[in-house]
Amino acid sequence: MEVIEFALAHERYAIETACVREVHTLQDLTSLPCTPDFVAGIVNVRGRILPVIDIRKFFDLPEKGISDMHYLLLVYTDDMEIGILADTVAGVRSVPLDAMQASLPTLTGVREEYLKGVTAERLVILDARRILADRRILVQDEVEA
Amino acid sequence: MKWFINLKTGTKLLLAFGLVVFFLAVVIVTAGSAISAIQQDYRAAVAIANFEVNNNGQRAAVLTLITITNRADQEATFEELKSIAKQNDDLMRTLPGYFNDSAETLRQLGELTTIRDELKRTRDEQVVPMIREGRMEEARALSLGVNQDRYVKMRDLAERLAGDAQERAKRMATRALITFLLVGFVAVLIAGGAVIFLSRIIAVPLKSISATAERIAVGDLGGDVSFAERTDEVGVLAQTFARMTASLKEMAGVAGKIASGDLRVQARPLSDKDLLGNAFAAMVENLRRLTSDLTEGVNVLGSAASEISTSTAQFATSASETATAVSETTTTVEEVRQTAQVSSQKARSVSETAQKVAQISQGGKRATEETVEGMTRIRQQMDAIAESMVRLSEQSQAIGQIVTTVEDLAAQSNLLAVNAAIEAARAGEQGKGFAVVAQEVKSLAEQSKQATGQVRAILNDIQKATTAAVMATEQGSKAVEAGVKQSSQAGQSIQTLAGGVGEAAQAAAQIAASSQQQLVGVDQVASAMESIKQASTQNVESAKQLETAARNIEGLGHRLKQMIERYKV
Repeated sequence: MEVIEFALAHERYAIETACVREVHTLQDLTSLPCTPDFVAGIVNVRGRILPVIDIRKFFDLPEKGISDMHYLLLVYTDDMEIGILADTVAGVRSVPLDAMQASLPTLTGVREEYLKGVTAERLVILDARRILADRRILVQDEVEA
Repeated sequence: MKWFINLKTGTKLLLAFGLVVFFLAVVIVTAGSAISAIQQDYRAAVAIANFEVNNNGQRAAVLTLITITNRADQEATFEELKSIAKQNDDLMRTLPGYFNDSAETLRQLGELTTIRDELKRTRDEQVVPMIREGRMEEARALSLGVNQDRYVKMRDLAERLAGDAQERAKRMATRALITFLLVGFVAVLIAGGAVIFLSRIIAVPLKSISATAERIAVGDLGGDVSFAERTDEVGVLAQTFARMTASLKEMAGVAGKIASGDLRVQARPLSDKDLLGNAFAAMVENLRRLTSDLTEGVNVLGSAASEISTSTAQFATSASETATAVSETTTTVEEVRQTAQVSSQKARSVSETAQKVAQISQGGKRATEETVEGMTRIRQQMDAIAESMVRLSEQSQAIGQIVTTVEDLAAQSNLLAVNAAIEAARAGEQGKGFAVVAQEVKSLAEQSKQATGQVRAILNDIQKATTAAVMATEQGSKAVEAGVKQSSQAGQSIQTLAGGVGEAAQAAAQIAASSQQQLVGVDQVASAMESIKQASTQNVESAKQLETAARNIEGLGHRLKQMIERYKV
């Protein structure tokens, strides 16, 4: 499986290449009020407005370490496209399927359902479809004016 | 002769000389008349002789005329004859003037005249014309005949006249001589008598009076003065001399009384012009006053001498005491002087040392100044280094920026490679070539990253080194600052030191000077003490001498008193 490996706050994650459109440098992140805290904001990429998600906040991970957040991974599914913050993007690599293991609960604390697996090198491979299908992504909020 | 003696000397002399002069006048008159008579006779004789000569001349001329035949000579001779004849006439006329004293003479003269006239007539009327006519023989006959006789007669007469005249003259002369002798003899006699008389009555008294004056001149007032009874000048002189002698004797008597001690005499001046008398009176008065004053003085002297005697004894003792005290003081002063000398030397050496230290501190001050200058230079160098560092860091910053840009490029390339990989993955089979390209790009990006990593590492090193250098520079600068501060501190302290040393040097110099002065003063004191010592020694001696002198004065006072008592006032 081809995955893109990226790092965020000293944690190494990976996502399938099939779900990633491109990797972009993070520019002009505009934060939105009245959004859940895992929504870092919105960004304008070649005329498209995309929300930006902070994985850590999404998974309720305790914040540890400083994140540079230089990069943005454009992750898409059939009906949704989001951007995921990343400090560094290592690159594209192939991960043998059998190397993946089911995640241990003592690891990062990310819920198992969103993980495709964890490699021996502690590379957390995320399941993009599941993340994107999560209800929480859909934000419908009204702000009292 | 009393009346003559009492005449004035002038009159006497006048009379005596008048007599002599009278006789002289007589002699002169006699002589005069005799001489004039003789002269007259002489002239007569001369006239006759001339006459005779003339006659001879005439005769000779005539005879010449007779003999010569030359006409020219004859004419000349005629002229000569004429002139001689004229002379003869003149002479003839004068003769009567000379020969007129006696009848005989007159008769002879008349005879002469007659003969001459006859001769003349014959000659002029007969002979000369004969000669002129050439009748020489006749002329000769006449000339040698009649005229010859006449000529001879004339000659005889003339001779007689001359002889008479001479005779007369001789007689006159003899008479005059006799008269002279007589009168002269008488005059001499009278003059001699007058001289003797006058000398007797003038010279002798004068000699006697002058002898008296001589005696008085040598002081011998004895003897009488004679000739005082006459009334002429001699008498007056003698009387005056007698008065003078008397007054002098009186003065001598007064002086003698004074010499013997009797000051009660009275000196009476003879007049207010009497110098000696006035002087004597004044002298006697002064002597009287002097003696009374002297008596008082001697009394005072006597009492004073005894007082002096006692006080000199006291003075002698006190002088010896002073002498001992002074010698003690002298030794003390000597010690003080030595001490002052030592201190003076010490002060001088201290002064010298202070001077040297002052110089050294000056040198130190200069050294610190140089140090500060060096420090300043170091600081300047440090500043230059810092500047270079700053530039260096700026450059490395620029390099860093460039590296960042390159890094950025690398990241973006990486990103590009990732995107390319994604696209390649998405493309599947067709994308494998693209995946290779993407891999190449990624590797390039990796190389760039490595290179940039290295560059950054080097930059870091440079930065560190620069930082270290800057720090070192700063430390150096601080050290320099500290050094400068220390140098300036050192300089200040040296300055203070120098100032202090300068003050010390000044003070030392002042001390040296004042100790020198002190030494000089002490020297002066020492020498003064020496002289005081000498003076006190002399004082002691003089005190002793004074004592003896006082005693002598006392004795003298006694003697004076005894002497003064001799004089009665």
